Amino acid sequence: MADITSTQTVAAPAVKAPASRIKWGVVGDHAVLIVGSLFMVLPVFLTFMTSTHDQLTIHRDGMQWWFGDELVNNYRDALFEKGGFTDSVDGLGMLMNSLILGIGFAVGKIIVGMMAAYAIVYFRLKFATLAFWVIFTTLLLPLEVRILPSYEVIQGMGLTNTYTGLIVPLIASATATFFFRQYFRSVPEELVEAARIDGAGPVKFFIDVLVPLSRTMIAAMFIIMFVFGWNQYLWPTLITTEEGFFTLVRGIRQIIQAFADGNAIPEYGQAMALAIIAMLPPVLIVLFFQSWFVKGLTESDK
Amino acid sequence: MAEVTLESVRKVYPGGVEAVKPSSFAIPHGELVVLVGPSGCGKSTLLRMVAGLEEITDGVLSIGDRVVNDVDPADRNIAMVFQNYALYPHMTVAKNMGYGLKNRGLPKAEIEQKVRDAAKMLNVTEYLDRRPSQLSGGQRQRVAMGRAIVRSPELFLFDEPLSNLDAKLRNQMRIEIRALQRRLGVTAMYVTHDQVEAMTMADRIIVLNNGEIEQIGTPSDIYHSPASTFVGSFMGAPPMNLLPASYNGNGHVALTDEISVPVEANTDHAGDVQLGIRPEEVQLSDNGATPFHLDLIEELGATRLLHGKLAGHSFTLNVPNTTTPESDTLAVELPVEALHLFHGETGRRL
Repeated sequence: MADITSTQTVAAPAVKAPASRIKWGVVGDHAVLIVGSLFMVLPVFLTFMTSTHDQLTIHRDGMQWWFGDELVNNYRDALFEKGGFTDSVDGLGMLMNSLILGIGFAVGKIIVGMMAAYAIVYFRLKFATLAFWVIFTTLLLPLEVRILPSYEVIQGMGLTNTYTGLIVPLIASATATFFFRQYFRSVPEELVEAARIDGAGPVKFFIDVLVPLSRTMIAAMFIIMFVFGWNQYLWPTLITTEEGFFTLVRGIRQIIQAFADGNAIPEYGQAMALAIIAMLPPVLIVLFFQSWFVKGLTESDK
Repeated sequence: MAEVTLESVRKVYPGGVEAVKPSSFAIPHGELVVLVGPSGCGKSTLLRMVAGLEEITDGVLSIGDRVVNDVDPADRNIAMVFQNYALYPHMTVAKNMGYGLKNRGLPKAEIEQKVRDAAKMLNVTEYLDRRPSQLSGGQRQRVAMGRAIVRSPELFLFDEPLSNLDAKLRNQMRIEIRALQRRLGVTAMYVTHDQVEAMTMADRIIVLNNGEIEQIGTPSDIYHSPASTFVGSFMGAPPMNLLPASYNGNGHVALTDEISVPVEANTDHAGDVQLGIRPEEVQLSDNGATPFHLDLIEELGATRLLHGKLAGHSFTLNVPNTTTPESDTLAVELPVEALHLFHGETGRRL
């Protein structure tokens, strides 16, 4: 013991730490990361800074790099000033509409997808595989491809300018069905059997076991689908003509256009503010559900 | 209370594979029966048919006085312990154990009482609020047992419950399961591929091979008078030595032209036979009549395994650790009372 320590103290100065050597590899890594981050963050930063100026400055000098003095005014106007042709819609209303669309879209997709996957995986249906592939091929037919027939149907049912018409046609989802199918197939068979012996029927098993087991999966799906629904542009533009149903994403454009048509200077500051507001909910959703992701990864539940 | 009876129970999978050939047996109340056999012998299928997880193609299955062929698993009054425990990962231990009772609509207080009693019996009381992922393998196994006990079933079904545990824990749990089953006096069916587990735990063993019952008997029956070469070589470690030989009904079996040994056999079969003898019943002896060529010694601690050749066929001896062979050509004695004679083609006992 004693001689070991003594040799160590003698040997210690010999292995001199390379104190001031620059590791170029590390510098390179960081450079790439920093450039990448700037690339992602700068447009958002510019938008935010610009949103704090009045429209004259923006019209004259373009995007702004630092705070102006119109922050409060722009955001207040963006949220509360009635706009549009009929002066019937404000930012807050559009925010509500977008939230209804995003949440309805995500929740609907998750419910339908989960139930479809449950049927396909757990019941010995005759054409389960066929049904799955039929659902799967609808991935090849996004809304844009079938937009005219979809519009025809919705219009025929008199669902234009309703939330139902806005949400329901978008719900059927091959993506969610596919992900839940893959997940359910990884749930051990014995769990189903144990539940059968425990007297849990199909509905009970779904609600008591499968849904709680899939909660991290549901969270992931919710994020993806919410953001997807939130950013819908084409379908809401088609289906809603009443300004009371406008969503944020199309409202931004409406503001700029409406004023440009009236030969005035577009309210760029307000539009920028609205863009920032439109970005917030998806960001918040991701931040909120992130803890669920981490939990799902560390808890090796399955 | 609950006797389990199978009458010509058979399983054919869609596609025509006959996983279990018509099998009949009865398990008296309170007995622990072990189904043992190699992978794919149909033992798990048989158990799953009793559980109701697998449909019965033909035959009659009754638990107690009730024919349960078409009864839902939940209503068969059984409990099953799975190899991978099959605990619900998102529920606490207490919820896991009480889930079946909750589905039966028992009042909360009663469920709690039963769960607490079972937990106490299995020493898992302190884990009742934990999730399965926070428990070790042995603890999970106990919880799975607890889930079975709280239901106070008429029949326990065990599907290789110990094969995910390490060897030491396996031995300990083996004893615990056995003691628990005795104490509760519940009939049990236990599936394993481990012949040691089968020998130590069973009141009776059912040996299966290729979907067919080879033999039903007490561990001692199975060990001392195996019904076929398959049973002889599957049960017991190291397996029984089997030597091809010929028998002409004169009380002697010829291993080669020179070597023949006397046997006791009440058969008029003449021709090809298999001569079986357990490695621990062969004796090394200076005046033994049969030459044995030693190739390899395996040290087991208490005993030694001598591997080599006898009459040109591989052959193993299990000898005490005090025996140290000095040359590689030894003489052995095959005691007449330890010899088993099997049919040369069918492998059945003669």
